[in-house]
Amino acid sequence: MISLLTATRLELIKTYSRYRTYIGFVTISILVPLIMWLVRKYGFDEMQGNTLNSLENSFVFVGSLVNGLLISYYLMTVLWVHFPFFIVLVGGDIVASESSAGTFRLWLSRPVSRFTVLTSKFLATFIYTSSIVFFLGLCSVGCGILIIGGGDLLVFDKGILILSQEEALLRFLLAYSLAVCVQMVVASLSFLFSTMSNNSVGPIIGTYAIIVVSLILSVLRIDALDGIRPYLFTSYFDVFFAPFADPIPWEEIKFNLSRLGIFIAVFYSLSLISFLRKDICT
Amino acid sequence: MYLRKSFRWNLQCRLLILLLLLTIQILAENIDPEIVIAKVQANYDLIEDYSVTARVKVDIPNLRMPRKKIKFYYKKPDKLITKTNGFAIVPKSGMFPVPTTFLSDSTEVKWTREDTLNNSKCYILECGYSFDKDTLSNFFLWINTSRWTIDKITTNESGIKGSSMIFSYVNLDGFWIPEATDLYINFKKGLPDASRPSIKYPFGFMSFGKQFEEDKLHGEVKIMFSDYKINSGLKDSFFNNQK
Repeated sequence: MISLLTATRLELIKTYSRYRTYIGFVTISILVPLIMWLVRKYGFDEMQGNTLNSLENSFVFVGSLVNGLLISYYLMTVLWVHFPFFIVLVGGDIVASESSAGTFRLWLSRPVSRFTVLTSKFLATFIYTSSIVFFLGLCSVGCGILIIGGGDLLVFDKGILILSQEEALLRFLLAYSLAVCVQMVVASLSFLFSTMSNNSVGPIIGTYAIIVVSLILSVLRIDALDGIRPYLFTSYFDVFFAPFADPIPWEEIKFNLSRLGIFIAVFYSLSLISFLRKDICT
Repeated sequence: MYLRKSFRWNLQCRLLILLLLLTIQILAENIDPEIVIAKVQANYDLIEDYSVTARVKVDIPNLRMPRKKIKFYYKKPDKLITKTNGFAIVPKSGMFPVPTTFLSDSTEVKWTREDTLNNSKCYILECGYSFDKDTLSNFFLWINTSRWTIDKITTNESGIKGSSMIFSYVNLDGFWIPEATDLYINFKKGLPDASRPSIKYPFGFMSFGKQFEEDKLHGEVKIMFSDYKINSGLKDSFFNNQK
């Protein structure tokens, strides 16, 4: 039997040998440095500075609020709506492309179980998701510090919280680790649709449509939606901003992570059921 | 009859002496504030330039920041450079208590009374733009009479509780310079309650219109000074290059 480790390694080779895998990496590599350069050249009208106006009579402000870490902090908001596109691009294709190409017939004729095949694909999706999320983090924080400069990070949390650069970097690391979990929900949803479809367009569009609708329902403050909001995975998507609080709300993080974990487990289980029943001979 | 005349004369003399003493006392206590200010200013007139490291600890509701180290470079008359790693806030008037930084030509100063602060005799001068009833704000300088330094500043501002600054000094090369400053400040308006970005508020949330709670309208700032270098001959080019 081919082990799960070998199957995962093969899946990773397949995933990283496709051009579409690199669309996200290339976009980030171009867009993030460009944003940082624009901020350096034209400035940034930050909201935090305005909140300090009430202290202007008594205090002078030394140093600048705008630095690479602040821009990286705001760049994290792309993780809600825009960034999932790069995830579904791979997650929605990973199973469906093999269904449409008919390679499953060959692949499953080898001494390997369907469970191993699907789990290896799921693990490869997880590794891709982690790599692109951390790449975004590394690129935004790294380019931010290199192009604009480092410094203290000024964030909102029960007023204004100023974190030293060393502390902010650790919190970015935690935030991006949590962002991996958030994006993994997106990846597992697109993975589920990918097991149900024979082409990758459907899972990509379907996943994106669900994300957008869920976000709308999560954002709208309508009382009638209070009952369904806990069942929407997007309601827990802001967990990666929790590390930028003092003290770090570990209970809130644990709660949100457990809910996201349930969604990932449910989507993976449904994918497994769908794949075990999948007709690969047609 | 003689006794009565003598008694009256004696009484008149005593009253006259008492009146004379009272007049002398009143005249003696009417200390010229200009002279007091000049004596304090003289302490700093010989300082042409200085550099100092300040460690600032801020305790203001709705504002949490790590302790900051700020380097100040000053040269007469108005060259000032501040250097810090990142961002910091420092009190406008808590750094170097030189009278010229508090008093302008339009400021009226008058001597009010004498008091003791930390077992030292102090003259208390009231400073303000006018002393009529419509005065919006005035402040009191507590001048230490043994070393001629400003040891305490208290403010009165209409609508809010008073604020105060307390200075402690160290003698370095004959100059009395601040070693620590404690600032207790009351605000008219506090910092808004703001929350981090969330699904509901993608760029964070601020409640500017919210009525501030009483306990959120005051703060405390402590500054410790060290590494003084006085009259080290800082060049103008140093300040120009930093700009």
